[in-house]
Amino acid sequence: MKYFKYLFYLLIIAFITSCQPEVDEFTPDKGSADFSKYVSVGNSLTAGFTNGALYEEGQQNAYPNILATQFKAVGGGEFKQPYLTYPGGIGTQTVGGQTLLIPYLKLTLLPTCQGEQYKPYPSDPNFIQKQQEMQAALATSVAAQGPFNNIGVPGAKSYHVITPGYATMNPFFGRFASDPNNTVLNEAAPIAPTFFSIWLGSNDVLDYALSGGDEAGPMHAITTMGPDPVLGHPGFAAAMDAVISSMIQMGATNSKGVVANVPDILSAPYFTTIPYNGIYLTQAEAAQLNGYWQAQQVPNIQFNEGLNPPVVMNPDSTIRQLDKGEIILAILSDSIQCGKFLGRYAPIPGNYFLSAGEIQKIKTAVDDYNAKIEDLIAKHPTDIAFFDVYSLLKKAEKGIILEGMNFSTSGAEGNIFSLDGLHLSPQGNALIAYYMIDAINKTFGAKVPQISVSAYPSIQYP
Amino acid sequence: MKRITLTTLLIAIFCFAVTAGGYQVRLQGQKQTGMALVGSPLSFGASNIFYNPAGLSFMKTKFSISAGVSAIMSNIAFQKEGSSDVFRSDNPLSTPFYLYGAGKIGDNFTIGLGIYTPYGSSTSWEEKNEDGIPWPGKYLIQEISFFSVFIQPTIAYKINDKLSIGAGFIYAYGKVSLNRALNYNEDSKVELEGTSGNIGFNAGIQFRPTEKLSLGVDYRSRIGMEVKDGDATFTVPTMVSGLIPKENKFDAELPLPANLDIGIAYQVSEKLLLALEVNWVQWSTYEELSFTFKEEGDILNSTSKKAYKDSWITRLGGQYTLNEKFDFRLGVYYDPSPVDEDYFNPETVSLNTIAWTAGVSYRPVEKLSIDLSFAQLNGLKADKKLLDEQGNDTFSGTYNVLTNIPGIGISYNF
Repeated sequence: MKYFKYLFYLLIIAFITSCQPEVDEFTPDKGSADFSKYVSVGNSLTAGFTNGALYEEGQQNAYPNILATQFKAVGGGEFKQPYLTYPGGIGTQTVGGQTLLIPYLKLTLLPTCQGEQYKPYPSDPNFIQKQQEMQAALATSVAAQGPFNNIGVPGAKSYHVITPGYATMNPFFGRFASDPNNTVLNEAAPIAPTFFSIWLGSNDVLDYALSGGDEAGPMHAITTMGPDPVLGHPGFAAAMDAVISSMIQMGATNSKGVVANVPDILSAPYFTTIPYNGIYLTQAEAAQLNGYWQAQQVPNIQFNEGLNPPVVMNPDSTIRQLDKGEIILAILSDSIQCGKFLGRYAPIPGNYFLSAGEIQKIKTAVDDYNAKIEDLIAKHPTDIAFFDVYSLLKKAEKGIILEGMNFSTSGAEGNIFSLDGLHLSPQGNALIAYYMIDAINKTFGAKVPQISVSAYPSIQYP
Repeated sequence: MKRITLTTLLIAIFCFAVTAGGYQVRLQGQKQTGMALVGSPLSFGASNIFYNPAGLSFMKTKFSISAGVSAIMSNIAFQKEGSSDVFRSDNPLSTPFYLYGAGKIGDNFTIGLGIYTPYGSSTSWEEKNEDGIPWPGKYLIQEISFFSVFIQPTIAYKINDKLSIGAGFIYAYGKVSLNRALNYNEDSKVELEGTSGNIGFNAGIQFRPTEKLSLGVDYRSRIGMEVKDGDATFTVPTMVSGLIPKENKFDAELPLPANLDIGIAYQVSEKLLLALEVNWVQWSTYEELSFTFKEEGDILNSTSKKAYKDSWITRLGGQYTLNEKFDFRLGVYYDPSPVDEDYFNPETVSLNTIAWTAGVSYRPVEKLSIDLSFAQLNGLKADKKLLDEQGNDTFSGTYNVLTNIPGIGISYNF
């Protein structure tokens, strides 16, 4: 009976002891980097601009904020962002080559062809009042709460961040600049950052693309590699060189950081949502359109039953149909998909599409920028981790599977881009942060704890 | 003082954790469980219906009935690669059971009937860990539960005093349910539930060349559990419901692999019995798991690569008969994971496992035996990956498993 009792004890012990298997093997390590004072330099992507607007929730989900949270495990300090608490957010939209600021733009997902994509639109009876509120919110300086660690400025091109007085040209910078004559980088100097991230260059080609390749407007010109005598800026190469070396020298000792290259902006949903041949016609409709264009004496317009490319107008006012590989901007998605007029009877104006030549210019510029960025990074092999976002998003064109989720560069279902088709969704930001941490850990022999991308919100369908 | 030390030691041993490969559960007899689940060379009455039907011929009494249940208490821990975040399972108690009856007819035949549950698995991941971080595998699996019941009429034929053969026909019924999150919004998920029935067989041979030595071989066939018209319930936002119907039907197949058990038992002394067994488990049959949906299959159908490998389990068990009232048993076995380390999905966390078992039988009267067993399965902590078709890592980390399985049974031989 004695033995039985022991065995019985044994069973009881095993029952009661809730043994938990152990797995904890991870010890965070800063490696050769010092994450105590982190500053992020960039444009709207860095600022946390999302769903067409800048607003607090988007800023909280911005990839630099995610990085800073992870850096805390390896000695990272406070990370201040210039939050825009204006409730509706401040949006921007480029329509026909004009960039507008719009209050309450925050896009929501709506079924297509059911009217406006966002609200309130200028038809909102309170629009004027809201616009005034927005202007007031933008004009309200938050500089006293600084210095800020996230100095990403929506709209900023490479050379803008080293341009004195840029605060007077861009209200998104003006609202947190401590001195109107400062450059964006000057704002980081009081922090004396020990670690930085730089992601610039997208806007150097994006303005051109968003304006449909508007050659006439200097505002939209593709940033040249060398000095631009017309616009008087130093060009992309010198600007990036200056940004990178300033950031390295800004700390007490050599600062380290991560530098991203420029993605192929044309793979963003804004440029891929509308197919080049998105006009669906019955045989009767096709015949009617062919009759119309014959009567107008415009040659080479041929509509057939099924899917057709729209008619567009070249800069020299000649009319043709769009070619395969050319791009219609997403701003027209309702007009093309639901309307019966634009692209059929009315040619799409040059500001709303990108021709093969314009596309080539953009691709060439991105390639040139990225070659330069890689050159500059190679000069500082121990100070800089290279984040190849270009290749990452190229891979995403075919799809990336992570944690059981599918990510791709296609519209909302791709989950990388937000509803504006240009800026990152929360999970898109997380994806960027995930691979950036990877690059940082590899370069600096660090063990910054990795995030779970699935912990960040996906695009929420209504 | 001595007792405390012993207790501490016992806890230490038992916290050095135990699980079975894949989703197989061999806990189909408490006596065998106590001896590292060795069964093919033994004759423990009616429970031979599962372990080796041929052993029925060597029952010492004319009739034998046996019933029992085990409680699988499994804890899984996962740490995402390169991350401090640890996630744990919150698995419901899983209770495999068995019920056997056998009786001799004439001099050479024994017939029997067994109802038992040799396959099952239940994994439920906590929705958020103790730091409030959501389970990162929720889009792969949140909860999965698989349960099967086998019914096996059996016959054994004693060729002579040394040699016996036996075979049983199996009807298998299975039920599977699982759910996982979808990333349309916070509440989106899919729940799948289906049942299946199929047939198979269990056949064995037992050879006793001397009074002390026994050899056994048993083969249990592969059974494909095909789910037809299982229920799929999608919780999706209104905007998506036009594309993905809320109620749907699905087909899938989960294979139950064939097993070949080869064992040897030796009666070392009057009191001590030792047994050694190897099991070959045909896990390679689990190549992929496909779900085919009745509606909107283009979007919903999925196939995930499993690429399981055949495994060899090695078992060593012993029984010490103290007196007329008590038997004590101990065992140890090694069960290598059949899961490919590159296609390791948190839905079936199966690691290389070392298990310790112990058991005791108490006979208050000669014919009745109360059988207790305890098994502890220590998964060997390992780094695993889940690769996609292009070979990119999609979900990797460190897994560890600790499973405690107490069991109780009774057998009555008359």
